[in-house]
Amino acid sequence: MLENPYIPVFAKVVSVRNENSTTKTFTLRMVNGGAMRFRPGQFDIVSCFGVGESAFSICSSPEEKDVFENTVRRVGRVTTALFNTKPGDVLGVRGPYGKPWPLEKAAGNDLILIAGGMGLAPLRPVIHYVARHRDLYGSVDILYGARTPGDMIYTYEFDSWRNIPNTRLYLTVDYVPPDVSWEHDVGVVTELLRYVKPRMRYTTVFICGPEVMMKFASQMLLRIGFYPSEVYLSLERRMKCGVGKCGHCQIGYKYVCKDGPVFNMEEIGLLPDVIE
Amino acid sequence: MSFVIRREEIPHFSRHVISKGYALFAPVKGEYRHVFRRIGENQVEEISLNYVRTTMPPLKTLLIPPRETLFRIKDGRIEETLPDPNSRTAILGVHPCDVNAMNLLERVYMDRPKDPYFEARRKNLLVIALNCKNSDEYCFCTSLGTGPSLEEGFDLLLTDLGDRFLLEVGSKRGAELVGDFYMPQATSVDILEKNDVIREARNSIRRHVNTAGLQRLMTGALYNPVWNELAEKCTGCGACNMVCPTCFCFNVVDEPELDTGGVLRKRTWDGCLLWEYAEVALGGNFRRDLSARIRQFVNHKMNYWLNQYGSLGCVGCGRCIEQCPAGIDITRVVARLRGETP
Repeated sequence: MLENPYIPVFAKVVSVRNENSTTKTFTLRMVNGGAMRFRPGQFDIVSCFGVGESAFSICSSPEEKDVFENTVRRVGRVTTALFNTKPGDVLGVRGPYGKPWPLEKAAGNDLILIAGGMGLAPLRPVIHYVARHRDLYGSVDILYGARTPGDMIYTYEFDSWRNIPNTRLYLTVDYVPPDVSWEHDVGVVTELLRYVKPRMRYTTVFICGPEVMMKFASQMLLRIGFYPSEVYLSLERRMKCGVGKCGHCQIGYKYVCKDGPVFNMEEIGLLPDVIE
Repeated sequence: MSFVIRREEIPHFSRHVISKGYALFAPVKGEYRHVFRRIGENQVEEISLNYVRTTMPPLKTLLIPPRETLFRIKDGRIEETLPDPNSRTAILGVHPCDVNAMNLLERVYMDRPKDPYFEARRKNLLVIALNCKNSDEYCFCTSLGTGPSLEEGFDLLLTDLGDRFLLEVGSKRGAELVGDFYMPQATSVDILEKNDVIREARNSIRRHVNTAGLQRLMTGALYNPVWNELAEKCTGCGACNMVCPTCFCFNVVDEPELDTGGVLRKRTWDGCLLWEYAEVALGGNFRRDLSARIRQFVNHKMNYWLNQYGSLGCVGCGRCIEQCPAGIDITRVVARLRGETP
């Protein structure tokens, strides 16, 4: 029989965690007992049969073989259907797909991880990986921004991230509602860069967030002396197949699904339609 | 190996193809123009090989149907709905540009991981191509080396010599098909006459696109005001995508099957000129402006294909020009970017 890249395998919802009012994290386990062997930055495509498929970053630790996680924000039909699933329900899963963050290439370097909103999801496996292989990397700075404190995800892990040796977590929000206490920054995430003193030529930057945020962050990094080849972005595009056939995710001659979603700034610098 | 088949023997030959177990598709005179249709044994007289262009690209329509079921899910089980591996299909009378377009689609769909639906259909497809005798004002295959004659990629190849056709064999499967169909062998006179027909067809083509240094030109013109000007005219209807024989994009939808309670996952043709094409969550759209969508269409054919699959993605069939309700002409766009035409 021919190998069919469009056919998902079944995965059971093990548990569902509320991240905030519009976001949940789903822990999934393959029904056939297989594992989701992925590398940080890769994505999978989840099916709600009868509704459709959507692509999500795999956001769990890459070392965890038994289960894997997708963090989902309720924004449309498929994600609304996902929100209605309960532990025990069965979904379809394909993947992992795409090019991961260059963690091997970055070994020995310091890391700066810049995330905006949901963009923290594909960086969470990086943080877990670094925690497990702490001696492979120098200092790690995590800069995370969201609209409000209530929009942040993975807040329950922040303390453990701060406890990773030589690792700092800086937080900022655009806006603090009147009844919320907030002891961190207010402003855009790029402003957090002022806390970081990068060791030039020994630092690799990973960015994921809204495209406009990635645009400003990468521009600022270039201004302070980073080379485009030292800055990696994870891009979002509409995807229907994940395997370079349906055409939707093309940016210039690149397919986000197979040439990305992680791109070096050097690769995408001259492509059109990159930033909305 | 080449043979000669008299014009009035085409129906007989078509019946021979059907008798070998092939589902035969061939052009017939439709209400307005020629269309490719499934030909039953009693319809072989309707086959009409005197046409320039069909509106829909015949090979793309056969190999990637406009709507196609990928699988059915029912009672917690997935049933793959692959085309029958034992079915055999033959298409008679496809022009060189369309055969070359199929060869381009192969690069996309047979690239790993292979598309098993395309692969199954392509494996079972016998191509009886037809060199072009005539052209019209939209044809520009000679600029892309995709016509008016074919050198490879066919099982059998016909050339219209008036009262008879030259029939050339291009594959083992083609040889098998004609093995027990009596035809006289072609002579050097027939071959010379073929060359005349092709030369005349080639000389009749009036539309051209200059492909010299095209990639550099297109990349340099990504921010040219031409795209905004074209957006003033374009309606974003996506007709160019639908009729293009190399446009391969598809959307995927789930459809409930009301009679069985199951769900069909289907794919349908999609096109980069359509607004929803690059839409993402929360109202984001990476090609919200028509200018960006036109730029994507033209650049994909005339620029990005080279990086992606090693050749240009246009075969010069002229369909997008003929069907555009706004009169946008891909050859003229390139000429404008070159500064050759206002």
